[in-house]
Amino acid sequence: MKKSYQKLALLISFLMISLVPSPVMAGERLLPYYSPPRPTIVDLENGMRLYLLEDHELPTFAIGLFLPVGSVQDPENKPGLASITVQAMRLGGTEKYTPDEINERLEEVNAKIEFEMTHEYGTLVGRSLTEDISLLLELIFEIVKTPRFDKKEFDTLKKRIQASLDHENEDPLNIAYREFPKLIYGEESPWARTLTKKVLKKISVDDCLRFYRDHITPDKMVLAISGDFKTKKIVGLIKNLTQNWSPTVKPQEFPPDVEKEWSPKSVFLTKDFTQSTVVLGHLGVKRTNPDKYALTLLNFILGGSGSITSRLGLDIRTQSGLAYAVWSQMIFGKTYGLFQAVAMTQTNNTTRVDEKMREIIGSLHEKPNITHQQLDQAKRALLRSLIFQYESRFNYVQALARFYFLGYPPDYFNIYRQEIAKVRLEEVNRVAKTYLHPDSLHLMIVGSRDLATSLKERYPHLHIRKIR
Amino acid sequence: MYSVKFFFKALILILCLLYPPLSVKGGVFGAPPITKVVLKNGMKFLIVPRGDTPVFSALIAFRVGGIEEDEGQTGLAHMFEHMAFKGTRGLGTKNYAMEIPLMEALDHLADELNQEYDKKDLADPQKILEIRKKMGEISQQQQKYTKSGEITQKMLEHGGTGYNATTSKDTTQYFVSLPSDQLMFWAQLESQRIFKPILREFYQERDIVMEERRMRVDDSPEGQLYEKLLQYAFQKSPYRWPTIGHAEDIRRFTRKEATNFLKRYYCPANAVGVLVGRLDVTQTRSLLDKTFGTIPSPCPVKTKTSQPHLSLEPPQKNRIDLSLHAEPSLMMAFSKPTLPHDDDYVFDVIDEILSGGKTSKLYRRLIKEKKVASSVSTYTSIPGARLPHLFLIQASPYGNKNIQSAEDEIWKTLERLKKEPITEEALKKARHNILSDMIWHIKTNEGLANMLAYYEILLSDWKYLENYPSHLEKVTAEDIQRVARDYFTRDNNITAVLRKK
Repeated sequence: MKKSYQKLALLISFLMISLVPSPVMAGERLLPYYSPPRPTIVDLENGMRLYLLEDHELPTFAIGLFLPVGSVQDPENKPGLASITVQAMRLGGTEKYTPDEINERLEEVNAKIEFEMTHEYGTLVGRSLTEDISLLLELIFEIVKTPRFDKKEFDTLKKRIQASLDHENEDPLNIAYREFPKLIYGEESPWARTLTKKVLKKISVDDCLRFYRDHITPDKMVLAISGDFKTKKIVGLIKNLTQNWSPTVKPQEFPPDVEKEWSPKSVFLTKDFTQSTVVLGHLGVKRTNPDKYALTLLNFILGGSGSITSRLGLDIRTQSGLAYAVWSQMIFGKTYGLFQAVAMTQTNNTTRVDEKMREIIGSLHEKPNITHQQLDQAKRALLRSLIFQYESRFNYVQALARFYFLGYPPDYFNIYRQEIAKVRLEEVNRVAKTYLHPDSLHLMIVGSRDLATSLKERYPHLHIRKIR
Repeated sequence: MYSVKFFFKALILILCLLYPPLSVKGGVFGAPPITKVVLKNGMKFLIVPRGDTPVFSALIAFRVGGIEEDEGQTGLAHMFEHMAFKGTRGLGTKNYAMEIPLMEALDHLADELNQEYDKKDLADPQKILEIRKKMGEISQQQQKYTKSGEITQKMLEHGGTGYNATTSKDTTQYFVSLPSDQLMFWAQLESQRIFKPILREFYQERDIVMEERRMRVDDSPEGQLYEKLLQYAFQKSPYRWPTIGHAEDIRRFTRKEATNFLKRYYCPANAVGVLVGRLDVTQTRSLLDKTFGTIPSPCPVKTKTSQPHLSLEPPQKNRIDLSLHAEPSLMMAFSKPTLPHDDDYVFDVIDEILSGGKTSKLYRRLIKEKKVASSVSTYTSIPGARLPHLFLIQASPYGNKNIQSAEDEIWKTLERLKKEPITEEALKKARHNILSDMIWHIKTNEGLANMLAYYEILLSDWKYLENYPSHLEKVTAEDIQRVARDYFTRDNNITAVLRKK
């Protein structure tokens, strides 16, 4: 039983960060001297880029593929298709192997292949023991190059996805995380829309095949590889497995920037829960915005450390005992990102928590009262923990690959560190003024319908919807 | 292709990693040596220098969990875990002396509140409100003298990540990862705040734990089903109440109870620390002597009044039904003995055969062939492993109409396990996958620390792991049939069903 939020920690997305030499803040050394290992970078003719880092401590091997296709490429009438396609690739067999054969071969040696889909890219992560590397790589590229999309497997997959959609509404936080972005970006926005049961019914195995043909390509694919291997040998293997593979696909296109103006909405989603999940937030900034470092520190102080020492945590959790789970997030996006603060509290305390959250966000905007000492504490916490970027070699190369994929400069690790160290108090105060909008916060509450009357009094324009 | 050769290689690997003398010769995978230190107050430490990145993971585990609680105080171990983050006489406070009378006043009011709760239906809600209001006011006064969250803030400031703790029925564990140059900071802070905590902000924390319970149990259909299952799966065992505790008990906790719990169980001899990462063994040892080593040892090792129940017991009921506005769920549990009982190893293999991956027996049967459920998993030590416990099968049937068929298919699979011996290949695959999972588990400093602490707490010796591969190797196809026949019976079963309302 975790003291803090085991489950929530997974949801709190954080920026992958790292650095190289030792940062100095006001003459203080914040990192132990350490020169991280340098991965080998290889560009293949078909457009694939490889980041490889040997790590011989244990006989294990891990590989991550970043696929240049994301859920923003879902057809307008079929949100969720990108995600379903990669799952169908994994489960549907390949030209050479039946679905069962793939699973049998993998599980015989305890190797794994898993896909995930985000807005901007898909990932495949594979792992095996050293002596099964060839088998793992063969199967990965079988799946990526020649998926079979077996019809029977697809039907089972659809059935399972439908069940997971049914389960989604059992967890208030799931509901909030699914619905809040729709308030920010609009129901139909590629940055917010989600799969529904109605759409799922319409999606066919042919849709997946078409989506696959239109979007999966080695060009711009980035691979992160670490483990017990010889670099030369792996590069050779991958070259062999991907030679003559260069399908032409549609270029990855992103939707136009979202509208920067908004009028705040209040939504109450009712379901028979004992707690209310209160979410306040609004549109945030792009990841190219130079103010994001100051905003990262601001959010750390507000509620971003996921910790009881932030303003939200101290007030709402530690000092008043109103919530176990309370935090804030600043998500930097390709388009304007998202700022949100979340707290879960018993039904009776809903408005009190809503008020407190507004007060805390409001005061940070109006009169931040951040001391030099507080800012330094936040900086130290962020900078000193950067060393953990290197602890797992696989996470390290994955971060490098992702940065490259997202178009960050090659020394982004350094830049991040230096920029955080440089932020001055005036800048934190300025970004609090510029980017926090306490008067234009969207509100979403997921909770018991018993609250409907009192909430309606408080928010006359409250939109109430029942969740089943 | 799966080969015998491979199995032995995996076995050697695990042995090398855990038993340095073997690895010296082969030097196969740079296996880290494990140094065990016993401080003069009886606290044990395992030190494992490892890796190149200047970081380490630290874990302090206590042999105390939900098992140690008495009825009426369920959840106290977990409540105390929260309190260990509240500071000391010197940390988390601006003026400890000024806090004392305020905390005593709060205790007094908490007693009054409990007296009111004791009246049950006759309790005066107005009075309860008033007392709580008064408590809120005094807490606010106390805030003038506290530095809330200072312990956590310091840990973050020194680069600590994943600073947290868990409580289970068996153990309470405190952990964090830090840059290697912060070892001394870690030892100084952790030795104080865990062993000599001041339980300030106790009554707010009680409310926080209530919120935690609402989140994990009351608003979670599976959480509710699981709690019910445990309640009826045991007759006397302390495994029958939830780790987080009953709401009725949580809201009545007092600071005095928590203090007594601390005195009884939080002594050095009842703890084991594990440090894994880039560390110098000699330096670390001397640092531990100077910090953790100075904590006074006496622990009135008086365990709880009623002794934990050590023999297998049949469930109180065979069937539990729950109707909620949620998708159906099915939990089937069977009583089983705990390690190092021989059958425990057999269950590890059965667990792998039944639900380890998409080629496992239950996955094939329920999800691929019969299409009656969207997921199925099994668990070997529910809700813990210090006492006889449960083997649990959990499935998510497609709608109410498939609950019965999912249940039938699970029984059929278990019956086949009794009748048809599994092939030698399947057995080898299961062993191989169990062992290689362990390799992945110990890949991180945190994972290795976790595994070592677990067996130190459970069996007082991590070397259980050393013999594990050979025990696994001894498990035969007949063992699996026998264990299936002995344990997977209707009498030994409790089935909990969540039906959609």
